[in-house]
Amino acid sequence: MQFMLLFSRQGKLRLQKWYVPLSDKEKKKITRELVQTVLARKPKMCSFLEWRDLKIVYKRYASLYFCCAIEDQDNELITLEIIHRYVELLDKYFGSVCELDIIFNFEKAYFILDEFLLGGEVQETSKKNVLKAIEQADLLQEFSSVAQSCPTLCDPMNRSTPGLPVHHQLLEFTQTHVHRVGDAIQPPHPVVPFSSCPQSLGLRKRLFLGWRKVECACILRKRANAESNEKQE
Amino acid sequence: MPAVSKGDGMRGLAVFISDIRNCKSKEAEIKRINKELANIRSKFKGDKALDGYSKKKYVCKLLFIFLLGHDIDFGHMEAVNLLSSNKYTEKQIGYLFISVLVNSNSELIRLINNAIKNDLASRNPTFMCLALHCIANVGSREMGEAFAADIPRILVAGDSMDSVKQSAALCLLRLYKASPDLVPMGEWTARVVHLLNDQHMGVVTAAVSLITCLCKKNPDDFKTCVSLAVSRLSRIVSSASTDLQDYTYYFVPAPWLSVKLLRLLQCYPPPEDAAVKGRLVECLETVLNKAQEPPKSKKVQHSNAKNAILFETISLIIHYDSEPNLLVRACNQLGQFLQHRETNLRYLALESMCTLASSEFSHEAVKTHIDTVINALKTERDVSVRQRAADLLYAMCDRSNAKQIVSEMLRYLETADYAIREEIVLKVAILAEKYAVDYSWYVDTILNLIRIAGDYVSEEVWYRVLQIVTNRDDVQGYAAKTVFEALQAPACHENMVKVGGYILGEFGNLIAGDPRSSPPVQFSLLHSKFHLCSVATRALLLSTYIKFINLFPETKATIQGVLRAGSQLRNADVELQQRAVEYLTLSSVASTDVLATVLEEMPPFPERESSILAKLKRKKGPGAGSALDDSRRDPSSHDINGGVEPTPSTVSTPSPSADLLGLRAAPPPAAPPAPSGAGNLLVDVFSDSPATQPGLGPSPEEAFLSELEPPAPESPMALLADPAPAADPGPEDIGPPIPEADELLNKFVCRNNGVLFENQLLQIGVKSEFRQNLGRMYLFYGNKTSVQFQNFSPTVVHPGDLQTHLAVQTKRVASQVDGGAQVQQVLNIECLRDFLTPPLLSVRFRYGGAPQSLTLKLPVTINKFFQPTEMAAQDFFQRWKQLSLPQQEAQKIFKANHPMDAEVTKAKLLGFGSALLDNVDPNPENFVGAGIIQTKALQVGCLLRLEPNAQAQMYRLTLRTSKEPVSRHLCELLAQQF
Repeated sequence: MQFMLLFSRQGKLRLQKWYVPLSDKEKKKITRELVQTVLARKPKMCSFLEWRDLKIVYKRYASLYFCCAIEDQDNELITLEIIHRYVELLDKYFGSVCELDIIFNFEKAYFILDEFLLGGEVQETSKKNVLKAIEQADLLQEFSSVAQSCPTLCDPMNRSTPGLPVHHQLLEFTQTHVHRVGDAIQPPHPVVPFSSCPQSLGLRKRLFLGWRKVECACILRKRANAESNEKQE
Repeated sequence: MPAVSKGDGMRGLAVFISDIRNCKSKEAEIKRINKELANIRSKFKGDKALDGYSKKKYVCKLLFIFLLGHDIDFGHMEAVNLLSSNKYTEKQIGYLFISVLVNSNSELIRLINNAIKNDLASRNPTFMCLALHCIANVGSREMGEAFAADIPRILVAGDSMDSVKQSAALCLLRLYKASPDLVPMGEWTARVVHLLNDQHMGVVTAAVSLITCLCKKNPDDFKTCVSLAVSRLSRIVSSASTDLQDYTYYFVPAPWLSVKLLRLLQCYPPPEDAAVKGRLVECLETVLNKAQEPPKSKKVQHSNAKNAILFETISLIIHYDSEPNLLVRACNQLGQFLQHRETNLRYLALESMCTLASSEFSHEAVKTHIDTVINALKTERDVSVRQRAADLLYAMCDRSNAKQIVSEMLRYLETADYAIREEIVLKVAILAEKYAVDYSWYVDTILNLIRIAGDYVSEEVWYRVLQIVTNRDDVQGYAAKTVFEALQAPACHENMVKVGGYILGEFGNLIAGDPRSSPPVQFSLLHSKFHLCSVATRALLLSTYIKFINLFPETKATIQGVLRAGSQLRNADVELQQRAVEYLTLSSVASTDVLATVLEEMPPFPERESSILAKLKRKKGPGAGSALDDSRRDPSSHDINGGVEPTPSTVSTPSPSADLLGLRAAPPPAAPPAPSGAGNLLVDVFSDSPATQPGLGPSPEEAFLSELEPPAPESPMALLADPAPAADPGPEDIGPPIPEADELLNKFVCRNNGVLFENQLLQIGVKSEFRQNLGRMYLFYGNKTSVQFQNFSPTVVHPGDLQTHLAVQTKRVASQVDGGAQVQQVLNIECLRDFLTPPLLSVRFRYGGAPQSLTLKLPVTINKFFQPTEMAAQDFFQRWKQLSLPQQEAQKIFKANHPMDAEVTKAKLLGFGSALLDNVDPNPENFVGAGIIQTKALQVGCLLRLEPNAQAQMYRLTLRTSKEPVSRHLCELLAQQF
């Protein structure tokens, strides 16, 4: 795979990942051209097209287009499922992922992608394993933020494998704590004034339909959590 | 899954992002961004040291701004600082920033490499993975230099965690792709191959990609991977849908790994080891079988994953191209997909079939789907699918379906997307040329192309049609007539004017006999387009005009007037001005003979690869032309009329090694020649039966037959070489005609151009034109050896009293013919009275000191002076009755020597010179013709009737003329043609 682009129906680029060296100018040109080409296509059209000397494989999930450029001998259908698996991973991680999750947590979207694809090739196809890797990172994060307050606990640098039991406890602790805060303190006004975003409806549309019933609640909760974390610090 | 915030709570970032999102305009957004950039800059520059969290937050904001499409020129240092933070999230954001934003020549690269080195050495797998991801994402040469040696070690180390191995494999792959020279091969390579056996499916998945890439460059070093890959694949394919747990995707076991393994196998030929091969074939069969099973899930993911493996399997089968059984099964499977309701599958099936079409085993099987594919071309709503259909039609085309496919593609062209028109034009042009059975169809097709999509017809395409028309004399008359008709459209494309201008300039004389396309009409038609054309086209037309002056002396005054006009002589364009001045002077200064020589008809072009094909290959990259190159799949392409390249025997002028004008020089400017206006064939411009015009010459079938005739052996009689006598030697001076002379002569009864004679030394080509009782013949003598012929002297001899019947004026030719060179001799012929025997051509020369001599019959027969006469049935019968004296009729009943094809017969009769009269004979199978033989002394009216009897394979030919010997002679001549 040469690159992957995520962009919205309005043509806004949400994520770009390049697996071949290109200048910024060239990247912008490619993006512009491809976004235009793909957006111009009608819903029932096929998911593949020839573009320059590459093959483009794309699929739309709710308001987001996922678009991959592969080489001539690469397999189109399996690329389509690479996209799907990535969406599944995002969905599982964010819990009913929507475009807003990817906007506000773009760095996470990149991290998840790196665990799944590396150098343009599939690295790990097991959903469990990818999420485990990301969770481990998140554990380290929780861990280090707690470790800050009690520096004697340990230094993560010295561990070849994160001590899972300890982490688990810590995790549970923070988790319940945050939950409580999140549930108790309903922000008087949302941190992010979603209602004022013109395309907020589309943005909050889950990429997976019928995956879970909660739609906006999770986002609001996440925002609340973010705020509470901020306060903690 | 914890429900905590997955972001690490950078509130400032979230606020900033939502601010940006709330901006109502681009300007507002830029303003907000600039404010933020100023803020970050001041923080970074401030005296107060920033804590890790703030640094992370600001770096993240910069990253966000960059991803919005703005340039970021600071913050790199802060990001590098984050790399050595002991907090994971800070490190992670630092790496992300570096991966996205760092350019390879950054002076920070040393610092970055240091941080990476530390993390790689940390033995903390999470950190190691972060560092490896960063190398893989940047993939620069500097990183290669720093780490290419370390990563193989990490990859094969016994104590590396699985996740680290996975990242290391793909990281190495990226470095290897970027700079293969930096990755040292060594002891590790053998161990990498054994990763195919790893227990961890994720490790295998990552490793296969690396191995595949390494295999392509060093196939021998990695040969052992084939059997390992086969056994791995076999285990996956035969596993139940739940065996592989999390590696099963929608009931399909390990689809990604399967596809990668099948890709890997495509780097090698089929396994030599019978056991391995058997196991592999079993796998492939299992995949094909599974495709027929009912789906285990209705989800599209299930079918996609399953079919991804199926398509990759088919690719491997095509790659091996050795298992007819599997190839045909693959084709049938794809055939099912052609009508699948999923657009994606239809698209892929069309694409895959393209490659199947080039295998000799499956070409026929692919062809059976032609109707479905044509239907796809017509009805698919998605242009990319239609394009695949067009590609497939191109790939499956062969002699049997060329006409159908070309006409479908022409129809598609009318509505095709602009982006792909040029490609379709090229494809149609190539197919029409390659599979042309008669070249009139080819000419029609190309002119249609220009008509439908003139803008997309590149130079290569219209150069090529001129090249072919110039080289194939059997199509010249038809081409002239057709372009003349095409030019009559009120609006025609400039490319049509170019083609028309060139062809009429060369061959306009072939249709000049018809008053509707008389020389002045041709000229004014062309000139009516002149003012609308570009400079290049106008330049071409000027050359056509000067050729007209030579072809049609009666147009001289008009054309000189045009050339003399101020708009030409003082044209601002230098090229046009120069042409006008030079042509005007040439036409007024030069004698008719000089003009005829300067403006002689273009010699045939040397054959080479079709430039159109070359262009298509350029456009589509290598392999695009494969459908055509790959002649093995189409044995028929070697048959008689092979296609593209006219064989030497059908080229009008033999030019053994003369490399004349290249294709690029095809249009006239280089050397505008034309035949003199003396000779002319009368082609009825408005006739309805295009393929059968006089001047068409023999059909290709016949041309082939003549090619099969053994070349006449060298004359055994070597007479004393006599340096070119000034006068015709008496008949006693030359030997009798060679035994094949009559046979060779017969080839030219119905045609005017071709190869008269050929042996190991010499080739003699003929090109001739006749009008009324006059004719001009060009003889081309080609020296096929590399040694000079000396004392070369061709002479024409009139046996008996022929001289009183036929006057032949010859011009002397140079007495030396260099090796590989060709000389030309012009003969002016005048028919004085009717004659029965042709003149003789005696050629004498010295080759390597040995005198050589041969005598041929010059292909001038009485029928050359035929003028076709159209008449109604009533008139015909009236004249027929008038010629009822027994001696006026000659009749012959004879057996057919060639297949009895009405079209061929028609063409021959027209080539013979008489007009063909429709609706005269009550039996439509019969042919009736009429014409007048023009001699200086008298005219002889001729009527003829030919009755084929297909059942008996016999013909009855009846001729009635006003002169008894003429009837008999014509009857003899014509009877030998069938």
